[in-house]
Amino acid sequence: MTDGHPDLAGYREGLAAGELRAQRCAGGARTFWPPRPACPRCRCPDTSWERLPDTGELFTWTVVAHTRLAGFQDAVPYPVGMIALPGAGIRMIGRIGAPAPDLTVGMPVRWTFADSPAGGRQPVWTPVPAVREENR
Amino acid sequence: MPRTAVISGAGETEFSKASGRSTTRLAFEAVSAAAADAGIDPARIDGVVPYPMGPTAEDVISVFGLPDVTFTAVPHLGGASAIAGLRLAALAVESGQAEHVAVFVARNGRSGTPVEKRVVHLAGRHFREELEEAHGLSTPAQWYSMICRRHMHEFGTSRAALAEVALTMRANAQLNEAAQMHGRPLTREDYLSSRVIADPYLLFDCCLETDGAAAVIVSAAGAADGTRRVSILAAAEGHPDSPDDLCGRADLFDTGLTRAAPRAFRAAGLAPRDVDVALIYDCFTFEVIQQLEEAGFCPRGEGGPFVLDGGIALTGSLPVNPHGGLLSHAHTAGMSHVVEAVRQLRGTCGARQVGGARVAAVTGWGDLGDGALALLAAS
Repeated sequence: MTDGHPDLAGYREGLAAGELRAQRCAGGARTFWPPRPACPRCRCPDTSWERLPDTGELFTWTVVAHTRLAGFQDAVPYPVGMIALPGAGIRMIGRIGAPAPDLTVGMPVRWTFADSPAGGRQPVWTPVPAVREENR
Repeated sequence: MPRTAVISGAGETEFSKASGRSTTRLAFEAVSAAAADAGIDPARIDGVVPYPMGPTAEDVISVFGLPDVTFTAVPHLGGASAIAGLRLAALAVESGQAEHVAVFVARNGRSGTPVEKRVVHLAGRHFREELEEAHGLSTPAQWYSMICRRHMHEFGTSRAALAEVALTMRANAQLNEAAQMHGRPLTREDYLSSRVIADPYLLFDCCLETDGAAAVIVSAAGAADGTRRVSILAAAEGHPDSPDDLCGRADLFDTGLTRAAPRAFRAAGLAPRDVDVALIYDCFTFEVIQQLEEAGFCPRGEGGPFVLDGGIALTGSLPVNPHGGLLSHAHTAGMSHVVEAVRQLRGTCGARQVGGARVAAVTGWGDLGDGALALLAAS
């Protein structure tokens, strides 16, 4: 994959390998997002790419009813939100693969690859079933 | 003897969906009107502070044939640029770099570039393209509606509070013949039944898109008519953490205004309670509620109740945007908020005049939460 911003190369390599990855800085051992040339807290440029957990919490979202984005115009209305990954201490934007009425702030979500309305495959976050149901 | 900076003149074009003319022509008209209002020959303009998009300083120097401009500067704070620009102009005048500085916004925001094309100028373009647009997120309405939902979750801010902002702005516009929404009243039913843009934002939660221009002239106090000039007590800018991305900020409600407002009040020796009229950058209804909190007019989380109690109405404790705001007057990236502040402090606003207005606060909000605050006073 030669397209795309150089600062995001590690993220794209992660997706190609089936993973979500973010940088961790050597100075403070902190994970940060979005990817940058240096850690935004301690300015340390020595970073490594690490796999992120597959689950997070739905921090907030919007339901897009109108867009000019190519490919997404036929997908409206769709929810897209900010997912918190508490284990890594970061949040990231992600499309949500569940209807808006099913969503609640804070609900656990997990990502999988899905076909993107704009072509290719992208991570999509869906609610994790309640533990009670999983144990049936 | 330190020089103080004043706003000596203000001017605007008409506001429409299609100006039928270039943004440079719009800038020429607004700056001409501001110079005439200041009582100066435009040839005496020796400083130019443009908006980061649209006509440049060189465009304005050329169209006016200005003989010798000694100061130009461009703030890059999105919708906070009008106030940041006012600050740059004041700094230039106070330090003797220029005598009369034109600060302006000119855009064909409705007939020309849609907002999706304007956001390509923001910082963090690669984040938008690869980390957000790839997932279907692309406009300010979509970004900020996420913040609104979280605020509703944490503080109980309600749909009714958003409605109150929209209805107040539209009611104010009925008293302002220059407002695009003059003659187009909005009922609560109209608001509630309007189409969804990006839930929770409905159509009438979102500001206008406008063709038009607004401008002010900033001058040294001694060079301006004493009775009409408006003092710039303070102007400050600030950024959120981080200004190029929403996800990375530890506190989602942290904004540039949170940092800028205390600076401005401290420099002016004033507190929020000293403000008689507030011109708040109302790109969306919720951002009025958020800026009331972050500027210190009420504690964080209480902006909704403040609005529901009628606080921002013309008859309220803190009238907001008597001209109708970005929501119902016109979208000139906040420069019309400065013009309205000037007119309110001069006492020339007729039916929408806030009685006894001596101190005005004007906010700017831009990009991913950059902010600015100016405190202006009657002469």
